[in-house]
Amino acid sequence: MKLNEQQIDRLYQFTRQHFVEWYDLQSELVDHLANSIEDRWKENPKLTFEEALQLEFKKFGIFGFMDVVEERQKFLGKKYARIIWKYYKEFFRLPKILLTLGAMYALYILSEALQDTQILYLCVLGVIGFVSSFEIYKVTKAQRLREKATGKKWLFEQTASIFDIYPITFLPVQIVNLSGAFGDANWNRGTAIFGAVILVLFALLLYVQWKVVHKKMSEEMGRIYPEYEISK
Amino acid sequence: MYGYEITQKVKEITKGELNITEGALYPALHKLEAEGLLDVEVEKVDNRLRKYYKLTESGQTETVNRLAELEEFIKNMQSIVNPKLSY
Repeated sequence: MKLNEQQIDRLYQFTRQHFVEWYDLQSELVDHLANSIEDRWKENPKLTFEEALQLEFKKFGIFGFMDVVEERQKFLGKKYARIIWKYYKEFFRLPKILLTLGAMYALYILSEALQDTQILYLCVLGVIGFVSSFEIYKVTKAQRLREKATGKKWLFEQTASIFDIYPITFLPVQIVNLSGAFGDANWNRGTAIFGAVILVLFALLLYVQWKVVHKKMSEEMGRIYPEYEISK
Repeated sequence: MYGYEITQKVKEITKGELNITEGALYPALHKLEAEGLLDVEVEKVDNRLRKYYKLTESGQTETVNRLAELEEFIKNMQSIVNPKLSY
């Protein structure tokens, strides 16, 4: 006997109840549970659907689906970092490297002209923070709407929130602090150069993550996620 | 092969002696996929999605390497447990 559509839906619901919210993982687990329930019915046709399901779920052990989720997150985290790095590197090759260096130089020149690092760099950092928060807000909102419309969450779309690059965030803040500490009102060339470089690198990272990679996500992940295309 | 098929196949080949637990199977498959040793394909079967895994080329060479590693390991274990003392 084959499982009907209703029962398949129940399996999706079951995986959700056991903390697997993502369709990419659910579909595999659902297929597994469905197969094993169907096999159980061959041996013991009297078993109800729910009984068979509970018996099969027990086989996953006390942690249930947790290991499955964890391993997948690790995999996606690595994959995501690789994709970001791929696009980030482009800014250090011709022709984009000219833009990168140009931005650093412009920032430095401005700092020299104003004879100030602290306030200028703090402002730049503020702008970066503001713009990227706005971008992140836009992207996550669009994603939530999409999830609502399709009823499907994809783990790979959420990798951005798992991916933890933000310890780096403190670096530019430290620079601004440092420039104050050394500062004693004098403009310092070393701090200005270092700050300009770090700020540009940081802005680029955010730009790549939220503007470039985010749009390419389904394309890049499509290769490892054939089900994404199918279920559209 | 898909996940469930793998568990059944292993049971069949080893006549039930080796039983792959579900809790270990999928994390292992995803890990191998991450290492580039497995390729995936998805098909719609009986109103559900089925994910098939197959060894990539590097997966095939790696299988040979890992089996050799395992053999080496067993040999070492045997000589540790059962040392040939010469004196």
